Formats: sequence, C-alpha cells, structure tokens
Amino acid sequence: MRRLLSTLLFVLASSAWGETFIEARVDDAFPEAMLRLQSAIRSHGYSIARIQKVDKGLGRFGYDIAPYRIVFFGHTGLVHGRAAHHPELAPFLPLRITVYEESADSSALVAMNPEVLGQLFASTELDPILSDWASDVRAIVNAAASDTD
Amino acid sequence: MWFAAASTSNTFQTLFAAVQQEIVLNVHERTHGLYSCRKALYAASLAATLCVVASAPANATREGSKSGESPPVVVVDSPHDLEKTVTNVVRAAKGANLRYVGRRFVDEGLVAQGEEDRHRVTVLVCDSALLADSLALNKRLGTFLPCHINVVEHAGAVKVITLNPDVLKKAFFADDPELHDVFRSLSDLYAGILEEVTL
Repeated sequence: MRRLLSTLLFVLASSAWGETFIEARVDDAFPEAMLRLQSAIRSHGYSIARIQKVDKGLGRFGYDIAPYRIVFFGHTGLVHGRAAHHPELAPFLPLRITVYEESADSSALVAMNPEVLGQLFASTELDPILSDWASDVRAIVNAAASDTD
Repeated sequence: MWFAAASTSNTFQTLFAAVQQEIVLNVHERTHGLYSCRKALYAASLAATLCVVASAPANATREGSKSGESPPVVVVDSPHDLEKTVTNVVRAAKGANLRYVGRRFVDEGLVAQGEEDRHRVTVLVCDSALLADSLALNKRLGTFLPCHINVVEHAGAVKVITLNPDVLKKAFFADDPELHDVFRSLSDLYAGILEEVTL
C-alpha cells in the first residue's frame, strides 16, 4: 500500500528574509522518513557523509528526546568546487537536513535555507553557490516528502 | 562603533558582541579576495587579528552584507599553524566544559579515506544541556546545532570560523523571543573559545 504523505508544507517560515527554512512534514513514521530522505539525497547525486544521532547522543547524558537526526551530505564538487575558495562557507558544509519525529506516524524534514545566507554575506560571488545549494536542498526535501511508492 | 568599544573594553566578549553588531569593512585591506577588518585587539597578549570574512563586492560599503546585517560567521586569524590551532580549539572547548565530540575534515565521508582536504577541519563540540534545552524550545535549532568550530588554512593563513549566533537569531528565529538566552549562550561560548584559541 502506498504510503501517504500529506506533505504539505513548504512552510515559508516567514520573516523579512523570505523563506528561512526549507521544510516538509511527512506522514510517515520516523524510520521511513529517514529512508525516504536518504534515498532522495542519493537520487539527486549526493552522498551521505554521516548521520548525527542527536537523540542517541543526548540519551547517553540522560536526556530523553524523540528521534532526532541530522543527515550531512554532499559530493566532491560541492566541497572541492567553488565553495573551497570561500572559507567563510566552511561552517555550512557538508549540507544538512534535520529529521525528527513529530508523532508515531508523522515526521518533519527541516533545513536552513542557504539563500538567506546570501543576504547576510557581502559577496555576490556567493549568491550562485548558495542558490544552487538551496535549489538542491529544496528538491531533496520535496522528493523525500513526495508520495513515490 | 565597535572599534571604540574595543579600545575601552577589557573583555574579548565585549569586542565580539560589538563586532556582531557592526562590521566595518576596510577597503584598503583587501587580501586574497577577502576584506579584512584588521583591527588590533585590545591587548598585546591577544595577538590575533579579528576579521570578518566577506568576499569583496564591487560596491563595498560600510555594510557587512547586502542586507546591512553582519555576516553569519565570525572569523579570527590564528597565529598558529592548523594543527596547533585545532589543538587549541579542542582545549578551549573542553575548558568551557563542552563535550568534545570529535574532529572531521569538511569533506570526510564524501571522498576516499586518506584523500580528504586536510586544510579544512571541523571540530565538533556539544553542550548537552544547552542542546536539549534548545530543541525543547524549537526543533529547528538543530539546523545550527550541535556546535562546530571550523579551522581552515586558506591563502597561507589559518582561520578559526564560528557561526555568528546573534545574526542567525535575527535572520532565522526573529519570531521566537524564547530563544534569546540560547543564542546569548552560544555567543558567549564561541567568544570564549575564540579568545582562548588565539592566545
């Protein structure tokens, strides 16, 4: 049976900066949402660098939080290409999308919109880089939240 | 004016906070495509040069960004080589009671093992309580946490780069005043580490 996604959102977390977060809600349990995201990342030509299990890490220190992971991803062109000439972009590499459980059958995907960074940096050289990042992150989140089964 | 604040303050934190509020680009100090806000720090013992990286726009003005806001990162030139600087970052983080999670190359996991760019290192640290409290307030905060500090060797200089929490707060979480203390804590953490690292 096809899993239904209600996804609904590309919430325009609105502010003077426009769409600050690229996000979607997935009507799927957390493990399935994770699988969807990883599949979407790979299908867009990216590799997963690592997955930070925030919930597990905090759990070791006595904090009990719902499943919460950060998926870091990229590819050689991303990290060795134009961005390599701009050390100020290092804190934002690799790209990342956060996945967390909202309920037993609902999960959320959230990423910072890189285009907002473009407004915060002075250099126009960064704009096409950040725009490309935003485009790819948006496509990945959209794909992960789409009903493709 | 932050420079004035620097000359009268004895705390790096004051300088750091002031820099976050106003960046003055010195168009005469363009180096390697960067504008350096090269200002002597308040004490000789702090031999670092505080810089805010912003690639040179054709129409450079006093503003630190196209929006007039400060850049989303704070960059400090390290007087040490990359390895010593990374060691200092780790030591400073531990000294700030942060949990050291590890160090990674920026491209680690994306290229074959052993072929990573060793000039770009990310130091991962975590304040578990701050992280847990933050996520309880707003789950989107995970897009900027846990803490990471970058050490990058670029154009012959070693730079320590952190996020600029005050600017990110305004840009991404302006509608959530409950996060004020979280971002204040992050600013203090990063400022303390940058101070230690460059000594």
